[in-house]
Amino acid sequence: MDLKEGRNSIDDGFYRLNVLDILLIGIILTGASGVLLFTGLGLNWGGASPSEASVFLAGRPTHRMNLEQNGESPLLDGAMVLEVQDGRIRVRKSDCANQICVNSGWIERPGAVIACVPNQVMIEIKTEKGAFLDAVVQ
Amino acid sequence: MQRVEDSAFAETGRRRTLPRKKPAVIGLVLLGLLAVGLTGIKLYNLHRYHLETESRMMMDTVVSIHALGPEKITVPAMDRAFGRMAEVDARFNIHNPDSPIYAFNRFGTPITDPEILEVVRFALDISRRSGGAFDITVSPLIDLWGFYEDTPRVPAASDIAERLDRIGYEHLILRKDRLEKIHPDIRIDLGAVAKGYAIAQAVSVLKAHGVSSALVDAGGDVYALGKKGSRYWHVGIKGPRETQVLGYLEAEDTAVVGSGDYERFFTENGVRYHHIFDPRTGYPADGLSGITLIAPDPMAADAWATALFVLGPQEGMKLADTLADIQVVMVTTSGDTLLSAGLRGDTLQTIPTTE
Repeated sequence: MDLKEGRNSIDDGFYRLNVLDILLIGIILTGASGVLLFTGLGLNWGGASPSEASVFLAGRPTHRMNLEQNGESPLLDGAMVLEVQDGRIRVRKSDCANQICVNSGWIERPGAVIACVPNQVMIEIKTEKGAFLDAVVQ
Repeated sequence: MQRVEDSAFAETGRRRTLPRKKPAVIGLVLLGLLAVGLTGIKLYNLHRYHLETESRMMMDTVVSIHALGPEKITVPAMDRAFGRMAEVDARFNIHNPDSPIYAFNRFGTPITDPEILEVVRFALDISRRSGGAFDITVSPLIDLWGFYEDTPRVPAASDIAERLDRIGYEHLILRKDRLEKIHPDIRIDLGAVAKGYAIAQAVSVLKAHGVSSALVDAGGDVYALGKKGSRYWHVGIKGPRETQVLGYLEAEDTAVVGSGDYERFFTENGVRYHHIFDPRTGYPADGLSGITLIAPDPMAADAWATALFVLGPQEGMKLADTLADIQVVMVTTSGDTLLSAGLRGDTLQTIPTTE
């Protein structure tokens, strides 16, 4: 009885919203959307623009190539030459038989790969959050 | 006992003297609980929707598997899927002396391996249905053109004519439990179906080990298992002559397989010669520069990609429109893009520029 009297907003079981309640709901909604946006709930949203390519030799990552820096770099004592130009990369030269890696041309999409099977070399454009395309059929 | 309750009442009574602070405190506590709860959901989702990716070199290319799910499930499943693909690779590799195909080609030893027989039976069916445009006995021709070695070249017309007498799937005899050949020079190469078969095997291993969301990418031949969490798998289709993609498909439980004249080729006297041969003429197939197939079965997609590429834009598209479950995107040598009847105009979507 004592408790009921103390709260002026409780009136025979009927709760009337007052300014503080609305303020509270406001705080919770704002805070909740903030937390939701911050955590993203771990769902896969958005992508990242690539600026780096990883080079793997026999399955192990050995080099990182900055795709902002144009130029050529030899690999495996010059058996292969990689070329970077305006955010993309290609195998310019390779001593392998089929030249599939050279024929692959430029890659720039996150997750794109060039492989030279005879030399056991793989070049992959780095993805941070996951690329928009999961694979490219060629 | 009674006393404790009383004192609790007394305390609430005292707090009631500061009513304005209460909602703020409750609000902060609720917000705190919400943050803890949402962080919990985030951690759970990071675990539940963890994307595991691994690439290995096999089948003369890079094979990547992406699988979504708890690492405890995906990592061992992927390892077994790769193991299965390596097994298929070894068994179907014509250069592997331990392969029954090697013994069949070199010494005429009949093939009794049930797995190879299953794939041969499938391939022969495609050969018949494509009127010989697809042929697993084309290997001596590829050899003559030098595509198995470092130095591809255009052979003399007489040599090509001579080789044409030594190829043809009708020279194979497939019995219930063995494959034999009539002509000793006949050789088989299952390269045009084995990759699709290996992908299918990898997918069934992944499924059997509890993975329901994965993408198997064997050098640009893809199978999308389930969805990528809440969205479809995005599979891009590359144009034969440019680095940009033509567009992308939203894929779920489907194979997307490509073939083209741009991967293995050489140029002689200004003419481009690629590695997809027309078994009826002995020369690289003419008319198309790229083809993409969308089908539920990766092995069918792989084989039909070669068959329809060889048949070319007119004949190939005519046949494609009669095939159930198979959709085709063709790019002709003159640069036109053709879609099979079942593909709606909006199936190929353009990639958002924000990428």
